[in-house]
Amino acid sequence: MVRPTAGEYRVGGRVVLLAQDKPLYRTFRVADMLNFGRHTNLVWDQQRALGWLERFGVPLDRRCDKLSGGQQAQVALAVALGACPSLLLLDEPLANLDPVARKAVTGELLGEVAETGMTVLLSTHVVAELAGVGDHLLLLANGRSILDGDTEDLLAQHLRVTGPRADRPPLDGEVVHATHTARQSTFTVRGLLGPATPLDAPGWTVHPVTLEDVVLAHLKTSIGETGL
Amino acid sequence: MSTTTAAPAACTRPAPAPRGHLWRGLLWLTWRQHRAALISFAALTAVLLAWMAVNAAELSSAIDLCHGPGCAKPVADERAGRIKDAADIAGYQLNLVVFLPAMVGTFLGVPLLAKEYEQRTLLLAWSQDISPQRWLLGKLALLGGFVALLSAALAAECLHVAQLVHLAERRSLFEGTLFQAGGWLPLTLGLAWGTFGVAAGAALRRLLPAFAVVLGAFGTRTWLLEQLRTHLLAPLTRVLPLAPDRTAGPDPLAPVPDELLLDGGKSPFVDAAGHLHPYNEVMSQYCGSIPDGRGDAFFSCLKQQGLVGIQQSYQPAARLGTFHLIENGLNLTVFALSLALAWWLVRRGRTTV
Repeated sequence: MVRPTAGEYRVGGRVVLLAQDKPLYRTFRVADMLNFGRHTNLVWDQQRALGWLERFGVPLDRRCDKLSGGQQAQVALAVALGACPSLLLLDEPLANLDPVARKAVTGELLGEVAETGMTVLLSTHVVAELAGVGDHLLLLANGRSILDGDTEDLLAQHLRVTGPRADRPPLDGEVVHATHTARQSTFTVRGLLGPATPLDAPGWTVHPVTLEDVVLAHLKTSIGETGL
Repeated sequence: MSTTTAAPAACTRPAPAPRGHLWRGLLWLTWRQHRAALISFAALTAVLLAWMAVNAAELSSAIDLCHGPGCAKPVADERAGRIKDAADIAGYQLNLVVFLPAMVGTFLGVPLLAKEYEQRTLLLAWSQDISPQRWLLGKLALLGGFVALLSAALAAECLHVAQLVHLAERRSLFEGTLFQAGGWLPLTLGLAWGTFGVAAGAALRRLLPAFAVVLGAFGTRTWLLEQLRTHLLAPLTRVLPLAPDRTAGPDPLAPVPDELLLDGGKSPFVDAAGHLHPYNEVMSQYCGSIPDGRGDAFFSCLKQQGLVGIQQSYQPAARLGTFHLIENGLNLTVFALSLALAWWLVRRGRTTV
């Protein structure tokens, strides 16, 4: 772990980082990569690493540079999981995968989390990847935290209201983001009751939001963008 | 990987690996990553050693053939021919050994870190339980031990071959390749340029630029030392009296002193008052027109000009060991500085390019 330039961190247990480009030794066979993990870690679960590769049908006797991008990502994940992390840091883990594989990997990772109690810290620019994955969301913009909380709580606190053009929505709460057309206004609002907030204003409707909506609303506001 | 507090492992493995596991792991990793280079260098060294041994045996047997005034001409001719052939080959072999450290730096030293940076695998290697410092220490110890072993074998064989060439070709061990291949210089050169390659790779983080730097620096060093070597200690001078028999060539059976003559055969002449007369001046103005083989006429010409001797600048044979020591010291300095630079760069710990 790199020493922080400010503040401090505390970690309980083993930390494994999987970098964004998922580096592998190109001339190593897949089995060699598992040997690499076994030889360079004090704790290693060969069955766990093998099991991961089997689930995704990655051949053990193939050189890493002969694998597809998706298979290389699976090998990197297998090495990371075989090291038995208590905290697994994943930097854009699904970037090389097709949509079907993304879903499968996400599902398997959640299974590993449920089975072993491992914590996964996942960083991503693909907001759609977040749905149904994380317990906790930390949203960064320009290197600073702009939203931090339990995902369920965040979803419960946010709502979208649509109605005739207005400067403010007809309910209490913090306006996170607003968009206007000539006749209509849409507000993303953060309030205590979220979508259950009572609304007694003719022409206005309340909609629940997805995690993607919440993230986009905060990001757009943070970068000063409106009307999109 | 950083573990700041103990915590239950999230795996089925019952206990951590035994003591020494990571060092054995480094041994496996070093072999697996560098085996092509290690096998190539080991094979090259074995072939070179065998070739040197066979040629040395031939040179030795040629030297042992009958020589001197009492030998038949065919035997003397055969001896001269075999010595020339074997000594020529020995010269190529010694030059190859002298150049080999540049290959060690390029193909074993540079890739150690530069290839990892270039292929972005350092983050993978250093995010396991092996710390970057242990990773570097282990790899340097293993690869350095390998280079030291091969270089020591070659250096020992070079001593043998150089001694034979010295006897056969009547060349001083202080001269040219015989000097560079002697005094265990191939051993310290191998270590110095191997680690120089590591440091260049760590600093530049790219294979090709680091290759160019190592080869360029090695060439520059070789050229620079050629210029500076004779002046590492102030040379001595001596005046040799002119005598007719000097122009007839040296005694073919007299032992050759291991001196380094510095004037390239163009020592200045000395007159009776002790004044110096540059070689080129004497040759162009007075005695240069006398054809080769007329030693007596040449000697008479010099006498007529009042010249009585030549002043020779040289490094004496007693300094041969000192000069080897100085160059070994320079090599070990390069070794230590390169090691320190590589260590410092790794300790800085930035793994991205």
